[in-house]
Amino acid sequence: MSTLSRYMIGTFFQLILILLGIWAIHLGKFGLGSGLIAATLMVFVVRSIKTKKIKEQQDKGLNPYDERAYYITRKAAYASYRIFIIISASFVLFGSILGPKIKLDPYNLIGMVILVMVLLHIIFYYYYSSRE
Amino acid sequence: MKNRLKELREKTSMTQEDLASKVGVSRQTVISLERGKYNPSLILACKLARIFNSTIEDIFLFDDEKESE
Repeated sequence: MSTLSRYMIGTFFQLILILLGIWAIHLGKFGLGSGLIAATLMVFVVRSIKTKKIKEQQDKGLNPYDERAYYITRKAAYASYRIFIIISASFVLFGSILGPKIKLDPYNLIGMVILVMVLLHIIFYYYYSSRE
Repeated sequence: MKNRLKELREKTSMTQEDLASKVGVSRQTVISLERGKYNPSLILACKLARIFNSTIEDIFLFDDEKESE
């Protein structure tokens, strides 16, 4: 699959996610809607920059999807998963000790989870990319 | 892991981009390899050795003490 068709398919799914986010806000599920929209916009910006760089590299006959790229993605995914588990466990721990002070709608919670996961992955990707 | 990639590349008057396209990686990967920040897979190390008509041991200098840290 070419980089352009991959980008177009990704953008199509991002559009669907943004529409779902708008619909969720319309239904009063603000957390889920804003989480979806923010995460999707973040992914859109990062993907647009990456696609441009990938296209430039491919034009020069280089391989942007090499083993280092996969290695960094794997490391970033593992690091974001570990940090996410620690944050979740801390939330549950302090929540159970201090009592449920914050009431959360499960849909809003899913939206926030998506946002945090995407954000953590992007941060760790750039961190490992600069280090490795 | 330390290596002689930069030295060998410069000896053959190759640019980082030339080397990257020959072994099928990005330029960033060549930069990381030369700085010793990234350790290549066995396949990539073999490709690099073949390009420089050398052996993996000649290019990548394995330090037993440092690697076990």
